[in-house]
Amino acid sequence: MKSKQESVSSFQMASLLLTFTTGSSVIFIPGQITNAAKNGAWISILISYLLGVMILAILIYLYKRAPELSWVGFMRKTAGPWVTSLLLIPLTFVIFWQLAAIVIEIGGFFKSTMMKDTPNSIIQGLFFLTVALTARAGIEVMARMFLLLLIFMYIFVMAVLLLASPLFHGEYLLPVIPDGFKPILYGAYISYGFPYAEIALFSLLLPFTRRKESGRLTKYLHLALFINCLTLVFSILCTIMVLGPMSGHLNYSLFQLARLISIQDILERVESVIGFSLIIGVYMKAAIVLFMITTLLSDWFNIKDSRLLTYPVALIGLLLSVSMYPDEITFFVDGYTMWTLIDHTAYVMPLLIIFVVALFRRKKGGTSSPTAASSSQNGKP
Amino acid sequence: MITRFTMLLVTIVLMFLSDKSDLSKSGRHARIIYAMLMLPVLYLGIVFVTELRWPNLDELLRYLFSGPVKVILASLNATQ
Repeated sequence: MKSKQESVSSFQMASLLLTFTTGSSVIFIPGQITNAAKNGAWISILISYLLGVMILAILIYLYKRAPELSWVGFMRKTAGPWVTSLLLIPLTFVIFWQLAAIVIEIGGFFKSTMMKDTPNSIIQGLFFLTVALTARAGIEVMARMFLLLLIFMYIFVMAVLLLASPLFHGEYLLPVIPDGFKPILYGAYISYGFPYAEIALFSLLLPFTRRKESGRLTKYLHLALFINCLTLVFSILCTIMVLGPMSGHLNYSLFQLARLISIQDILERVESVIGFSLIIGVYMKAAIVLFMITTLLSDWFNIKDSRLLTYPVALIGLLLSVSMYPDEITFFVDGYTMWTLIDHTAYVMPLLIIFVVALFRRKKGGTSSPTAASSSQNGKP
Repeated sequence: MITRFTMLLVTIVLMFLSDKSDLSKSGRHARIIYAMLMLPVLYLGIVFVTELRWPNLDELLRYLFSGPVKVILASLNATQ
């Protein structure tokens, strides 16, 4: 029962949240949001960030009501087994889609920039193998390793933004709202779905936090989300200042921005640095999602060792990633326009339902909480 | 088709070999769940190897959500 004994510190949990929310979004989001909201893209991020803060607050509130219970265990105690299963079915389908989609994204990046003649199945197969081995190693290993990779990723992204500073044109930032407020809301709609609504999935991971350290958890998690918001806003502003109106029409806009860097003909072609950041960002996010799925399934079906499910789940993810979406356009439409509604319905709605039920039960039953009635089943450290 | 089949077969065999000791130690319940996870593997494996356009998860999600998404995008003056 390895995974049930595992625990991470509040700081490590916050670094996992930062990894999860920033890993791939820092590369994919600037181009997509700028395409939707033009120069007001950074306002879109701020709006969706506020929604993300609310989701995180609900998550922490529910976690603190019964920190020793897994999320599935808490749902069972709060809403009963049948409602729990009803809420978990769509969540399971969608989280499998998300796992496949994360790897499709990186496959598309490799195919269009670096490895044009390599079949998708090989790229995605090797990616899933690495991800599965990492997720199988457990949350403690992931938390320790990802912190280091996250620092590298931040150093590379910040170095590229800094090196691009001679190309900045402050005047490209104006006008801030060229086409009214609706495009900004559209941008907020996209960035709410990716990455802020996805935070709801952290309900599956929070019970792995060491209970004696949970006091600092709120502060660290909110700080992680704030750093994510700052990173996205800063990346969007830099992209607009360099690429101007073109920034919305280029995929992987930070990668394109890195291509333009040329310092005295000595420092050129630094896009590989952004490529590295993208690869490790996507790798970390995919490993976290894979770990979330195995945790979800093992808690749901009362399986003692969640690691047993890692390879079959990874194989399903691989087969989904190579059999869905024959063309890239449909994938981008689904990934950026439909995804918000999908993850809001499958991830956020169950969280809100459980939150309302928990509040209602608390009012009805005085101070009683699921903690008081908790059993050892589905217990976490 | 043969390449895809070989790739999938090798992956599945390696997976079983790796999980063999864990499966033998686990209970009947865990083995049933493991076997149930093989059902989507089988379906998706056929889709992958034969390249048939059978229904997939992306089509299910598009069927369920494309209508409401169009309404939302129209209200935001955005197009897909």
